[in-house]
Amino acid sequence: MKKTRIGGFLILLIVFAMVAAACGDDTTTTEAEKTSFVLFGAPTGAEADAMNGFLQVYNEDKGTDISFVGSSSFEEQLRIRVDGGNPPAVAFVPQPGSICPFVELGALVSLEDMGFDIAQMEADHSKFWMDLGVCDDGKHYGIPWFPNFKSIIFYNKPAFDAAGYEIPATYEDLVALSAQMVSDGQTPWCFGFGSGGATGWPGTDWIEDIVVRNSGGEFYGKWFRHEVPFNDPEIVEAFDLFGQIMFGEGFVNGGPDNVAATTFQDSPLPMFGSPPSCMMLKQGSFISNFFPVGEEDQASFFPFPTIGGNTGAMGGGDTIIVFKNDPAIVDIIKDWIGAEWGCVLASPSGGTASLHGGHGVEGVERLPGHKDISVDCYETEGSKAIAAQVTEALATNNFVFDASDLMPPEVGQGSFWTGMVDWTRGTPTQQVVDAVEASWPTG
Amino acid sequence: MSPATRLWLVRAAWIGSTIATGAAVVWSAGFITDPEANRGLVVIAAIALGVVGVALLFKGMDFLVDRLPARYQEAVRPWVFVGPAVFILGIYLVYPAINTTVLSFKGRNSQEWVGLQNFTDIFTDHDSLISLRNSLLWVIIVPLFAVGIGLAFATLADKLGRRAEATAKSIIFMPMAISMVGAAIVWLFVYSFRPPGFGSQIGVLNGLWTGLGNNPVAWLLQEPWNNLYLMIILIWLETGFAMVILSAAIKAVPEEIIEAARIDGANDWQIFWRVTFPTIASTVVVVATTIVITVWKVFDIVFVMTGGNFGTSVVAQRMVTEFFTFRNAGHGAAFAVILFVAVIPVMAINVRQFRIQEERR
Repeated sequence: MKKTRIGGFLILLIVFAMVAAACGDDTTTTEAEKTSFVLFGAPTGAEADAMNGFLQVYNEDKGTDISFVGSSSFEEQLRIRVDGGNPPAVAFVPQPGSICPFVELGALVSLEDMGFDIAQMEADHSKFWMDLGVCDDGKHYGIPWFPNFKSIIFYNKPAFDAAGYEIPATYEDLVALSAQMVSDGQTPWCFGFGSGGATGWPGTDWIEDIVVRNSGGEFYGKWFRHEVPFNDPEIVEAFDLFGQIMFGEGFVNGGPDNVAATTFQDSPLPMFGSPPSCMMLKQGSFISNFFPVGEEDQASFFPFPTIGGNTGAMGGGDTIIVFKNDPAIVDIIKDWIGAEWGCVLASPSGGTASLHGGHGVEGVERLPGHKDISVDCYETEGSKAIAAQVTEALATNNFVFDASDLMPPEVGQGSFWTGMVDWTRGTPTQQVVDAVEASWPTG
Repeated sequence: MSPATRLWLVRAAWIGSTIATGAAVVWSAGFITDPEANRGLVVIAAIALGVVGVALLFKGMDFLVDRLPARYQEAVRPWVFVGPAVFILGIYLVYPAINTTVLSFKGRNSQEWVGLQNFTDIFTDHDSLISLRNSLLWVIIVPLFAVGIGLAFATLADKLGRRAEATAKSIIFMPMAISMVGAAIVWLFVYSFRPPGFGSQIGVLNGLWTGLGNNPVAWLLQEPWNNLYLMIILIWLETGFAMVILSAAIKAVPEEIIEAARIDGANDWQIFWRVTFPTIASTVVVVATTIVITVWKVFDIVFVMTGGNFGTSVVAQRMVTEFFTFRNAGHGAAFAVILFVAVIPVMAINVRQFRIQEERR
């Protein structure tokens, strides 16, 4: 009896060995016939639908199988996936500052290693943008995809025309116009700084647009690189200029105290309807996606006015990063960032210029990230005008990125945001800029 | 059929079924890793694989123990059964705890040693200090109210008829079934605020408030009261838990003691404080400490409601921000260690009281 049980044990061992062997060579059975990967990004809702629409057109044309996953807590999720050893093949980040930490973790593939033509890309997508993806090892890791443009102020056109207001050319004009509106019984401004954990960011855009005009692009570069301190007098001056609007008597719908309680998505709503509850809103071009359906026509926009005669083009942009070095993926990305497929991503129909139609989602438009994307890819005159300004800025390397996206995350995604909230709620300017300066990480 | 043939048949059946199970395990392992497979079937296969796998593991281990010399068998057997659990806990709990502690003494990228720098950073940084202050407030206020209200309800419900008691208790217990994120979203609508020009108020509280002729208030921006508004959510969630446990303890107080007290002329108030409460005191401690541990770890509510803005951040939420938004592993780990250290004494009290209580039974 004893003997047979040992015999049984041996058989069991053999079976286990067979099982182990069978498990061992299980990996090579499936051969990929078509390129299949997941693209990970921040957009959700209509913007995610547009991304899916774009990928659907692309997949049908090229026979690929690429899907998009969007998350509203993209930054956290991406880090969790990378730390967990399960990165997506390709992602696109709204914050170029988040690229290099992934390089330090050894997670990203450089453009040099993937065989991109850097010089050509610098000509097509602007050197400024390409430089944002350069990390400590001197290699490029960011692939410019589509920008957004923040130097614009939306306004209620019918109400403007009815009151006979003129588009302000300078910042002084803008403040004077606001005062005029108040004396006419109107509330000039809508604000919405609310954005969950990111609450406060729309305020940083104001400061940046003012700094780039008031202190110049060179100072702007020094500022976000911390070559001048955050509590520099020039920055205090920018806050004071913004304060002329934020704290102007009766300038802000709901009062500055409640600016942080309104989400940026909701912020345009009072600008619609007649009479509107506010006349103007400064926000990136993407905000038109949040206009009430059917009333979009009421809104028009003008460029952020000049300060001391200086214009500027400030914005942001989604930058592709690649976690997996695969020639098939490289070819696909080259398609996406080029003028031909950029046109599909541009608008619902792709306008009159697209060879493949558009992404099909009404109300979503994406600005050109390549200087050769035609303005005819866009449907409305307004979009065409912005697109023309952006392609021009890309071609001449005059497109400046949102500084808060370029600062270290403790500042650009932390104290600068909370500082703007504190400032609207009554904290003195000097105290705000000192606190942001103190939070700047050392070394 | 001769006994020998029978034996061989049984053996053949045994071997055959072992091979079949092994093949099934291999096949399902392949199936669940196939990205093309139907997700529903994958879930079923994964569960089946898990159950059969664990059963096989224990069967196999037991089988091996049987092979050992008889005098070792009973000494080894319990370890064999408890071993996998200890091993898995070691990987998923002990190792991360040790590693986090190590990381808390390293820099933001976990490369170089920085000594106590992360901790001095936290205890000197304004925002971090606010989160520590808030967490302390949470830990004091939430258990106090959750246990207090729970105890009051348990005592009062005890005086109701059987059916009324069951109904009242179910209603109060119901929030327990809601996840923290779900509860936060519900309360987001309670506190919702719209400045003038955004149409009518959709928040319950502002609906009532403006109905009384006041201007709408952005509740979640009112420092420092917004902290209290967030705590109410957790109190609402935890009161049910406190009530159910305390109610059971109250029902276990011997009727004889209460009757004796009553005969001696004690009123209800005196009976509660002099008889019932001392008898259930250890349960109160266990419930309170359990809630304290939950409160130390609160993250979801703050994350959903305010994202830690407007002076409402707490330690666990700050830890996530440092780790994933600021990408400072050192600070994040240091916050985790602070949380860990803060929870340990509470945990010790909790376990000790629980043991005392068990011994008394």
